[in-house]
Amino acid sequence: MSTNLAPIRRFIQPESGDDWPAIAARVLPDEPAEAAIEQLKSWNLHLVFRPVSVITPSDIVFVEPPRAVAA
Amino acid sequence: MLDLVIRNGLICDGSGAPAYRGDVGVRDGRIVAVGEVSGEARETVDAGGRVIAPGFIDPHTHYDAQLVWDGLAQPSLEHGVTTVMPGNCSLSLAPLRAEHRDLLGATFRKIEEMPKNAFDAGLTWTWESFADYLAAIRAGLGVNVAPLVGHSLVRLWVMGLDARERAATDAEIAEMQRLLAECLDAGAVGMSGSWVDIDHELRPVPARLAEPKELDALCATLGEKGGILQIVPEFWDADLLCARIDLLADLSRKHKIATTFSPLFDSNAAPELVGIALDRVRLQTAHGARVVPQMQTRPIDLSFDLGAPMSTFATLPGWWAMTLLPHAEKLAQLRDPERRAALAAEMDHFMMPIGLQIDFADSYVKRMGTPDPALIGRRVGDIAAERGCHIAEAIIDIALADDLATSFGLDAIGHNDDAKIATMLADPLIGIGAGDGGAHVTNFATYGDTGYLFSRYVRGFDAMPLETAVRKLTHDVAQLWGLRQRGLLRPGYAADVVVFDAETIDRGPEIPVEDLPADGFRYIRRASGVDRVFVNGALAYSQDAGYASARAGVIAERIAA
Repeated sequence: MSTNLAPIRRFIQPESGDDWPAIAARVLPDEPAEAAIEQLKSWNLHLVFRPVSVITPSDIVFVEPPRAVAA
Repeated sequence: MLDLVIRNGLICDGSGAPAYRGDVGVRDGRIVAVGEVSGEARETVDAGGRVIAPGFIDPHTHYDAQLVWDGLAQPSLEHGVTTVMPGNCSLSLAPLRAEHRDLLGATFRKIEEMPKNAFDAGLTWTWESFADYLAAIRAGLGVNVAPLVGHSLVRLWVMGLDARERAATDAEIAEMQRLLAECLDAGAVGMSGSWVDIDHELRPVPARLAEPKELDALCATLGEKGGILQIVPEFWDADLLCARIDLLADLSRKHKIATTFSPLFDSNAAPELVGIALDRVRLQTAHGARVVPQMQTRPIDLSFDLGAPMSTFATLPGWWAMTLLPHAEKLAQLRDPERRAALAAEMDHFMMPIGLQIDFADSYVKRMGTPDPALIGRRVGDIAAERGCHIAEAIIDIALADDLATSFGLDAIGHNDDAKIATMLADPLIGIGAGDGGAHVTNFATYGDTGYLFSRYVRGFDAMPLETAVRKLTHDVAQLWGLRQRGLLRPGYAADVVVFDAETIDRGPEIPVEDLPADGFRYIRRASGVDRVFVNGALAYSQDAGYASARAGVIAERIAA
């Protein structure tokens, strides 16, 4: 039975010790570093606006923006 | 001779099959006959045409602490609940080394919102291992318990305080697998986790520090032993929730385990969320995964006060910090004009927590230490307008005048689109659960969701027939969680039985009681329409006489892999 279902929105899970620069360098390697970090953060406000801003290995990090809602 | 026969009932056997008139015979704690039961019995009960059903099973509770001092899990039992699952959301009370009790206690009290006085007065820690915790509660059980072991506890045992700081080594993961297997052998029905919870220091709970390979390894152990994985995901965001459903589905397929997440919550802030999540569950189910969302039946009502940190203040860090202060210092801060202005400003610009729609102007004075008839029941926004002050100042001043004993209510702030929820609850892929019994005791009454299912959604909305509602509260849960011979009225099954009136079963109004240790206060709901509850063949509760003295509850066995 196929398990290769396309995700609703593509994501990764961080590696232990990851921070924004490390994740941005890995998932957006062709972007300038600062722009890549800002881009990534804008897609992951759930991680940015936390009571304590830490990234854990069990988190979801989206690597693309939200999809447009169908009209 | 039978020990017990319940005659003249409407048999609703938990399978969902049409109900029929009949009797139930019981011997040695087991059902021995269903239908037309002949022969004598030591005790005969006339059901008087009421429904005879399997005892309800509550898959999402936090009774871990309460079971130490109250083996009846009051008031769940009087609502017809004969089996409870404690240990959800990565938190159990075992296995736990003595040196970590204060840490775990503070974490548990913060997340599950339990008063410290009651927790400390009621808990006598006599265990470290999971088996010893079960031994500590076993003798006093009036309900059956099917416990989960918390992933955070497993980590803490193996890694010590490093469990709060870092990922595990391969050797530590192997030791966690060994420990989880030991807990499952001792009586755990599965493991619980969390992708969202933060502790009393606002740090992620240990389970959240696990790398995917750690959770994968532990799920391999669950697969070997036939245990379930329960987890709490980011239930307020559709994209995040769907990503979590995909992760659970992968684990389910790979390790051949059942998984369940709680809650599936209808957020007014994101009304499309439940439909999107259910579509994802449907798709993953069609591809062989077993991922069951738990949905509560009741709308979200919250109470808050300024005495302790509460989830109401989750996105108000200044208010949160203020509630943590010692009483005298708190009073001083609440009188300080600068501090009051800062708290008011924060309330003006706060972010709605976890999909709830909170407007503090709509909160009302619910309960006071020294009741003031001029304030009780009144809307805070109206009081503030009358006083010409900010709503934050109205809340603070009312509380100050009452030595911070005032409790404020917020009603129907989420999960309150009844027509939509009726459709969702009726869906075969959605389980009834997420009730949170034993937790959030001063924030809301978590009891009576079973009665509310019948009153609101069977009788009110006609969303499902009586037989389906019973099946969703009994056999569906027992099957998902792998409980051996529970959840059906069948010969050989445990005699967990509830007799209720289908026309009147309901939850009562929320009431304050002081029945926690150290005269601790909590909100509860009494049951109505529940005539009798039997646990393993013994009468545990009757509408006429209340709770019985029998302690026939057991640690419920799971079907081994």
